[in-house]
Amino acid sequence: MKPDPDNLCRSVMSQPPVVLKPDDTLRSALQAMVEYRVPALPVAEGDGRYVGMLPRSRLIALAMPRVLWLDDAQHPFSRVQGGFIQDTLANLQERIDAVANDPVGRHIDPQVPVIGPDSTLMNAMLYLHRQRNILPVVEHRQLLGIVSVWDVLARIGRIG
Amino acid sequence: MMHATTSTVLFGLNPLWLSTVVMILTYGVIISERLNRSIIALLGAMLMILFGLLTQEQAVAGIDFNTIGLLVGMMIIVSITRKCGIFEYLAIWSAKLVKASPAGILAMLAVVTAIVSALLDNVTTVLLVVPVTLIITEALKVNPYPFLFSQILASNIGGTATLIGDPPNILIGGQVGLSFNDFVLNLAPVVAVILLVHVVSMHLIWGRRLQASPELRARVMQFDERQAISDPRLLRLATLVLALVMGAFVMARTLGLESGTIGIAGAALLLMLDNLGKSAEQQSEAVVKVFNEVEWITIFFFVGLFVVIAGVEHAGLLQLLADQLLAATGGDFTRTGMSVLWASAVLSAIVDNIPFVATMIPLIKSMGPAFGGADALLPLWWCLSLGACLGGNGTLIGASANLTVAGIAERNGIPFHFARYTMIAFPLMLAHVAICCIYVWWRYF
Repeated sequence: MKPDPDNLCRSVMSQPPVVLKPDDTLRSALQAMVEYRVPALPVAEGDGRYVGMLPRSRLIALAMPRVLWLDDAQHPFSRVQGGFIQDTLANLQERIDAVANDPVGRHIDPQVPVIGPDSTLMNAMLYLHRQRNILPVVEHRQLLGIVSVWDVLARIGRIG
Repeated sequence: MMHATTSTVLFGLNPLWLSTVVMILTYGVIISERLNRSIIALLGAMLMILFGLLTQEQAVAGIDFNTIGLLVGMMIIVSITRKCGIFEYLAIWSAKLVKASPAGILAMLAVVTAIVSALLDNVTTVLLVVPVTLIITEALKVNPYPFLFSQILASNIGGTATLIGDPPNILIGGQVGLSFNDFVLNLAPVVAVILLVHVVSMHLIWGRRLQASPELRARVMQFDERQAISDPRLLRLATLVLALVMGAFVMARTLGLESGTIGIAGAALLLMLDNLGKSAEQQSEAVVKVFNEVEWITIFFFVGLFVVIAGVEHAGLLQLLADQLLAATGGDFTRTGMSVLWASAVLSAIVDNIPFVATMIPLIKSMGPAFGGADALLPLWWCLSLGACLGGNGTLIGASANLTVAGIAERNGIPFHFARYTMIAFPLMLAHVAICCIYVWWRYF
């Protein structure tokens, strides 16, 4: 049985406001993210080949001491609570300045799941429910678009 | 003397040879690190039973409950206690005490690490102190390497001082029946001297050249250690239980309590206090969380290892080795003690010291008759403990705390190389063991 095209990601997919290139600077990514108020931006080569996603949480993390956000699966309690740190705005800005010229490619999140245009809407729902705000749609390694919570909510709520 | 075997050995093979082969295979794979050490220890243990070298009952009798109970109990107590933030508080407080001068912090954090490590196991200690250290060094813009290096050594030094500070001591204490006080009275004096030497050598190697501007130091002075205490109620409960546990350790002989009982009792008490007033659902969630933080790899490793050693002991191998060692030292007590000290130091620097210590304990025990009874062996236990605990400092793979620090450092972009570490740490370790050598010779021989 052929699936109803309405139930596939292709039908809810949208185009991201910006597609970053791997050698764009982190500063330009930060600017785009603040300007468009998006939770994450896709990164792709000039020919459209998908590279990864840059989430806003990464930018928040980079402004803080590294031990506060580093993942350590083996030692779950090696993280400090950090309540004692009294960093000022200037301290936070200093850390972001230190990485502002890094290429975006160095900071992409390898854990972000990717969906195909013909995967089901339900499949996207499961990821979005697991606290993913935005999913890249990739086919033959090419970035086709994104499925965001807004795309899905609009469709389910019959809005627009 | 060969023990009578109650079970039948597979194919009628010689139990001495068969058990030796199983032990060598087990230790070989543990050293090669091709398989997780808990898996290989359990496999070795099961082979001892499957080959008919031990019955299940004999195998279980080989598992020392004092060691397992104390390890599990302390792991539970620590996993609850660390959440209240007291260790972060201590580290920040000590850094501010020396006005956030880098050289002062290098010394203070070594002392704090050593003291905490005497009460908790070494890996837990560095997991608590290292992240705070990284935050302080980042704020001061100083190279974190000297601090981390110093804390590795300090954790192993401090752990040597008490029964509960380092797994080799837990093993020795549990199997030989030495009390908390025995350890403190015999080992703490020399550990204090070694810690002092360590702090001075760190200052000479790195500390005196560390600089930070007054502005950066002011930033650390602004850290508010009181904010690190995330749960004051938990802090009070944990302090109470820790005090009770320490009190019980000190009074253990009078109370007639063994260390395994004290560890588990403390854990049960703290779990109860922490869960009073919570709903059934909240309780099971909290308890599961705590139990998940018990290092089961270590526990199962010990369980398997105990059975493997029971197997070779039962077959008479350890008695044979002890006789050989006695022959080699000519039955001279001082020479035996010094051999135990230096051999355990050098071996512990290269291989996991747990299997070594676990094998040495029954081996030394069987020397009892030759030296005039179990009480006469006391100095040998201190030699074994000092060598095995301090030897771990010699290389990056010498103790699990070393690898833990190196792992955190690497993930934070601080390179931690085997050769660079060993070049400085190995000579320092030899110096520390030399101090022990003088100490035990002066005090016991």
